[in-house]
Amino acid sequence: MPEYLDGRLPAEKILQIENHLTECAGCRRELDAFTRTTNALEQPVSTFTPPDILSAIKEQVSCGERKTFPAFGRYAIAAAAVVIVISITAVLQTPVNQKHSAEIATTHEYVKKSPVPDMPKWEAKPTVSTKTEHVAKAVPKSVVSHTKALARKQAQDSSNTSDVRITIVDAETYDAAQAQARTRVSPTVSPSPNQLASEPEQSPAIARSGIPNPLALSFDTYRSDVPQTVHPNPPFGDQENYQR
Amino acid sequence: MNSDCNVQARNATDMVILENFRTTELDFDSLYYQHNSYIYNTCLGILGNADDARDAAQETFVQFYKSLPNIKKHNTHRTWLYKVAINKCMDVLRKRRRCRQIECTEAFGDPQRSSDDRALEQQVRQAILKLKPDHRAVLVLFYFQQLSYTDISESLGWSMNQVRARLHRAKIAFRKVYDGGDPVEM
Repeated sequence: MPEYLDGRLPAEKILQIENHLTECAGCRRELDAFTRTTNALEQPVSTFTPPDILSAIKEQVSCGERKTFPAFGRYAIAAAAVVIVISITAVLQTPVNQKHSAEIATTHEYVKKSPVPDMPKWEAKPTVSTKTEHVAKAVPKSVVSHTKALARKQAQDSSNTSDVRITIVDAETYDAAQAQARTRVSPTVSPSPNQLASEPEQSPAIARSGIPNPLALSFDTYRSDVPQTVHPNPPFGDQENYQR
Repeated sequence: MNSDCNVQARNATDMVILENFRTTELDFDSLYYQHNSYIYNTCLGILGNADDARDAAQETFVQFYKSLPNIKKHNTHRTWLYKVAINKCMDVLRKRRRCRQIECTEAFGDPQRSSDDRALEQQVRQAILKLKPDHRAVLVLFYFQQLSYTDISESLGWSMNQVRARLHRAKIAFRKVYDGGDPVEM
């Protein structure tokens, strides 16, 4: 249609279109609307006299050459950004912050009875990854304290013990502990008596976190459950020692 | 002897700089008077506001002044100016949109023309101001400034096919608004 209106089509095409227009009312209406629009746009428009801005342009050019602040400002902003990043990194690297981050690191929780007999003391130094710190900031303190209170109540109700200690660990540690606990209580794989007497295997994530052993509960439960578990053919060690 | 040579060399350099400066100034003044009206009216057609059009035109010529020594071909001055002017207008429109400013529109129309013609022109200009920025630009350049497809292609940095297609789409959008439709979302 625009080509037809602009007269940019060959004569043969124009003839075809005109033949079609005699038969099709819809296309005629469309053509009328297009013609009206084009005619409106092609009307001559007023040309306005521009204001004389030559002196203003030259003044702006001369002022602009003296201005040095924008370039300086960009460097100043970049320098300030670098200083801020370094400061934040330094603050986050302090041991106090790392410990604090480890305490409130996650919404996962772990309930442990206290006192725990024969618990080994973990000597690993706490180091917290950047990801954990990020998560720690995302969990509000109120949520952490509420979760702790709830877990403490549940633990007290279930164990009838007033002295309950709650430890909050990060998701990675919790998952590692769960996986290890599942491996230990699995009926198809039985550990040796020597392994029972020794301390439970510690996952690298727990060692890194430096918190008390979250496997204590499963370990105790396992040891108390050992006499009740009947293994017809212990895979290793003698049966007598194992059942003891 | 040596100092005399240095002084002469410095004077020669100063003369060259001064000559270049004078040439630039003269070039700029003549080019300003030659193109000021086109640029201002283009900005006015796209922005619909005399103050904004003046500012956009001024910014365009400031940039032109700074770039004048680097623009070699004299036949590209006009399209170069249009290109910069359109970009300045787009900046103004973007700023308006960001600041949620309401577009002010001038009362258009030459008082010497008949009232019907003035009313029609007012209607056309108001309809264009309700279109998307690139539709405004292509319609103003093609119909108000009577630029060819080639010049529009150079000014807007589009290919010839893009110019044809966008002009067509701009006309369809204009028709919707002109026939009383809703303003096109920008």
